[in-house]
This record gives sequence, C-alpha cells and structure tokens, in this order.
Amino acid sequence: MKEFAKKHKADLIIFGCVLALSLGGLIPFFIYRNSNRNGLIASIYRQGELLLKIDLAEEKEERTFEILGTKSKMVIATKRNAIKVAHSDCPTQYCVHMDYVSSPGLPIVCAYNGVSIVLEGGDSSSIVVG
Amino acid sequence: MNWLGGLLIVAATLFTVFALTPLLNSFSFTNKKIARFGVFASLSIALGIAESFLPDFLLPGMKIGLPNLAILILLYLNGFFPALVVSLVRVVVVTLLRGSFLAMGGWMSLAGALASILAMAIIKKAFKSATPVGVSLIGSVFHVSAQIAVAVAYIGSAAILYYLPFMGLLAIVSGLAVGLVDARILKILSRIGN
Repeated sequence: MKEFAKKHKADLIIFGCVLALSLGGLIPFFIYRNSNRNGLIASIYRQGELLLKIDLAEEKEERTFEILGTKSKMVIATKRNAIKVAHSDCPTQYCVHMDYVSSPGLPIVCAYNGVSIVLEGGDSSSIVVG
Repeated sequence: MNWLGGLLIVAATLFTVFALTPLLNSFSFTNKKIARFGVFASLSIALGIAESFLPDFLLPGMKIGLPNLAILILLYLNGFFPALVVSLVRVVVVTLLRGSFLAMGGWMSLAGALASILAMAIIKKAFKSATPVGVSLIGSVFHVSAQIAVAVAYIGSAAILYYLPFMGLLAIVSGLAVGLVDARILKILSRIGN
C-alpha cells in the first residue's frame, strides 16, 4: 500500500484535489435544496433575460402555457409545487426528459432554445412578470 | 455568438501563423510519426462518431470521452503538438459530420478538446511521476468544465453551473476508466516497441 502510494503520488494528489472540489461543490447544492421551504418560485429565463416568474405553491391545478425560445416554441406545464417542459422542438429532449421538478437545485435547461427554468424557495410577495 | 465565433477564428489564424510555423519547422517528420499521426487521427474521429451514437453518460450531454483514448496515447508517444492537432482535427471532422459545426455543440466540443489537451500536457510536464490515469483524470475534468463554461456563455444563464459538481464526479469516473485502459495500452506498446 505504501509502495503504491509512493509510486502513484502525483495521481493520488490529482484524484484527491478533483474529488474534493467536486464534493465541495455539492455542499451548497444540498444546503440550497433543503433550505427555504416556504413556497416555490419558478423563474423562466431566455438567454439570461427573465421572462416569467411563477409562484408554484399557488398553482391549484395542472395547466400548460407556451413560451417562445430562441429557436422554437416550448410548452411549459405547471402543477402545485412542480414545473416541467411538456414539449420542446430541441433535438436532444433533455429538458422534456427531466419531467416535473419540484425542489430548488438542478435547473431545467433547454440549451437549444436558450431557456432555463430555475426554482427558488420563497413566496409570491414580489412576483415580477417579465 | 457571431462576434465570439469571429474572434475565435481570428485567434486561431494568428496562432497558426505565429506559433505553429516555428513549431512545424522544429518538428521532425519521420515516416513513423506521420503514419502514427494518421492512424490516431482516424481512430479519434471514429471514436468520436461512435461516441455520438451512444446514450449520454448519466447526465444530459455527458459523454465518456472515448476520443481521449487515442489522443492521450498520442500525447505520450508523440508529444503535445501532434495530440493538439489530432484533437482539433477530430472536433472539426466529427462536428461537420454530425451537423453541429459552428453550433453550440461544436463550440462545446472545441472548448472541451482544447482545455483537455492543454491541461493534460501541462500536468504531464509538471508532474513527471503522473501516470496516464492521473493525466486522463485531469483532462476529463477540464473537458467537462470547459463545456459547461461554453454552455453558460451560449445560453446566458449561470443556472447550468449547478450541474458542474455532478459532471465533475462523472468526469472522474470516465477519466479513470479511459486512463486505466490507456495505461495498459501504453504498457503493451512499450513492450512491443510501439
């Protein structure tokens, strides 16, 4: 074991640094995900420009609406405390495959249309419709 | 992206003229090197195309990094310059064939390939005792980080950065896998006198 560590010292240093950085990056993700559970606000951005903010806690029933991405229309579906991309014309369909997202953390991103949906904890006291 | 594309093309042209010309003059083109160059260029292109047909590696847009299998071996056998050129040739050919040339996917591929080969060459030079496993690991992580940076610039939203730690962990796995395979291949090649 000692001989292995001595022989592969550089590799182990590289592995350790990279692993520490990746795991360290996860900490704020989990803290953010588990914090601020009062309500859920979805912010829809197109090329960094805020299009819409929706208080998902106020959604009473499932509904859909269209937004215009940079390349095509997208259909967004919302229900109580959850949002998803119901339809997009992007070739990879990653955004659609994510299905309903209901907690802050990983955003829904459609790179083809330049659209990202970011969820944040909060209430509707200051909703801004862009 | 037009201005960025234009800027990159100008930068690439200037780099080619001012940096590569003296390098080309100092590089000794033996038959063996030329043949190896061709073999590894076709190998990395074939691996790149094959990889594009594979499903994503757990996260959207995440690939194992199969072309790195060939590029890392060339880095060890022929050095930085041939590996860099093969890397660039691979990106251009594969993105042209897949239809993502000068599109977001193409820029992500280019950024990932450049960051990867530069990081691998620097680590190989800086850490003489680093094996192909460690070098591949760094290449894989820098590849993924550069791709996410381009995606953030392209989409104009920093939200994608949330994916970085997850993709970093997956890059560690794929980097280790590619590095272990390459270490074995390089051992065999050194035994048969490559």
